[in-house]
Amino acid sequence: MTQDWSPLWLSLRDAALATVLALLSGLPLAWLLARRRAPAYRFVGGALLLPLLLPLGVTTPPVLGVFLQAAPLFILLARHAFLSLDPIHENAARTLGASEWRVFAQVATPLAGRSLLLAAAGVLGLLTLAGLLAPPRT
Amino acid sequence: MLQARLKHSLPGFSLDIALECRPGITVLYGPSGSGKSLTLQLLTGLATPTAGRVMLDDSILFDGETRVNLAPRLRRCGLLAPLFPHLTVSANLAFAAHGLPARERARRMKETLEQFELTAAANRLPAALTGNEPFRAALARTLVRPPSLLLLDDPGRGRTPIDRQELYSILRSLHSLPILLATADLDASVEVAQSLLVLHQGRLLQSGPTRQVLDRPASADAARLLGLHFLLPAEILGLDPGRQTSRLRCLDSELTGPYYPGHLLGDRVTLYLLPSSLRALPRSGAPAANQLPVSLESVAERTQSVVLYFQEGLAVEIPRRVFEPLRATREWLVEIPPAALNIL
Repeated sequence: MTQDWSPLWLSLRDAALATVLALLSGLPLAWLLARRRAPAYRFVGGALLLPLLLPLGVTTPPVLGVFLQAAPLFILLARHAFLSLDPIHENAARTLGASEWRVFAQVATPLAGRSLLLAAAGVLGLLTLAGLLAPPRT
Repeated sequence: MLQARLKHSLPGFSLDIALECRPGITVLYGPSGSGKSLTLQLLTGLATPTAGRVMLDDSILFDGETRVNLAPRLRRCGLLAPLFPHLTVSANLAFAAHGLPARERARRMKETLEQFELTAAANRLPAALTGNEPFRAALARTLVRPPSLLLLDDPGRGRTPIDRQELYSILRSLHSLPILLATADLDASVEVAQSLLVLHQGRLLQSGPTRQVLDRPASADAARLLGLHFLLPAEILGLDPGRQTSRLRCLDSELTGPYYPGHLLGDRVTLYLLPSSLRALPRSGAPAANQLPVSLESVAERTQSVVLYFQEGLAVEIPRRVFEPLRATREWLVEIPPAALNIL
């Protein structure tokens, strides 16, 4: 008897795609949420918790659904990775004439690199599992 | 030149100061918690004052009234900070030189690496630097694109001790640049300070040329912070403008001092005394003029000398060979020449 691995691949593929999208779109937002004090950011931070209340894997279509699960989770984890950085290097970059984009892309992100990868790996694993456990697609 | 007036309120702390920083080294001295770091943050724009105005050369960096508030990256205020740990020394410098035309950037980087003797260390990560190199590299990064003001927040306070002599010789060589050096360690930085700002609880107690501040503290608080003087309470018993003298009562003794214009009989004043102007003698018989009878409280041993501590915080350093035969003596006289009797 041969084992059918296709659900795993399907689930892994969707989760990976969603994680990459979450990484690209969520990283700058996570940094802003970690570093900005404006009320608008706090509101966004709160709103991000809402999709997490939905049971994993209930939404359709697949990749978009998984992305909507992946993005808030990744953003919350990435925000914590940025929060745990001493802002001294980001501030130094600003006084050295760097734009906010360079502060984010060349200083904050590489410094938080390991924690960010860990966050992405965690999200990927969780969503793959969730995809497997979800009711079969029709 | 920097001219700033800064007001800032935090819960439980307020800062309200006006300061000037000319080319050369200005030391911002204050105990920890006095507002030194906050002052530097407000100048760089990393924190925003609640009110005030910051001018650097001809440009307005901040003005509370007209709501001008330049972003830190546009201020040209170099704040010394540790290198980015994920970039090599030369990548750190390249980060700061970003925006210069390519050819000038290459030239400035080469010059700066040479100036700070970092050519050999250029391709190393900060963690692989040794001795004073991390500090030199951080300074090189701050100066590779020349700032209009250099700010240093307590260099040498961190984990890695720095070679102060090297720091000072580098800072002295940057003579056309205004430098503001914040420190809680006055003894270590007084030698390079051209001007001195004394900060205490968010207020400047005094500012001016270093010698002037040290010789003439403006208030008892300033003198206490500067820590170089003894302060003794005294009362004016007599004033003689003809002979240009005065009589004072201090520690239950009478002293003759110089004439103090603007003071009245019976005024309570604070004397400040330079330790180097005092002399200690063993007591035998009645004290002569301007000698205070005092009791020895403790002795601090140095290699060539000893410091004798008397009541009221009075301390006098005498050579060890003079002290040895007098080791058992408890009762002493401290002689204060009239000219050394300064009042605040």
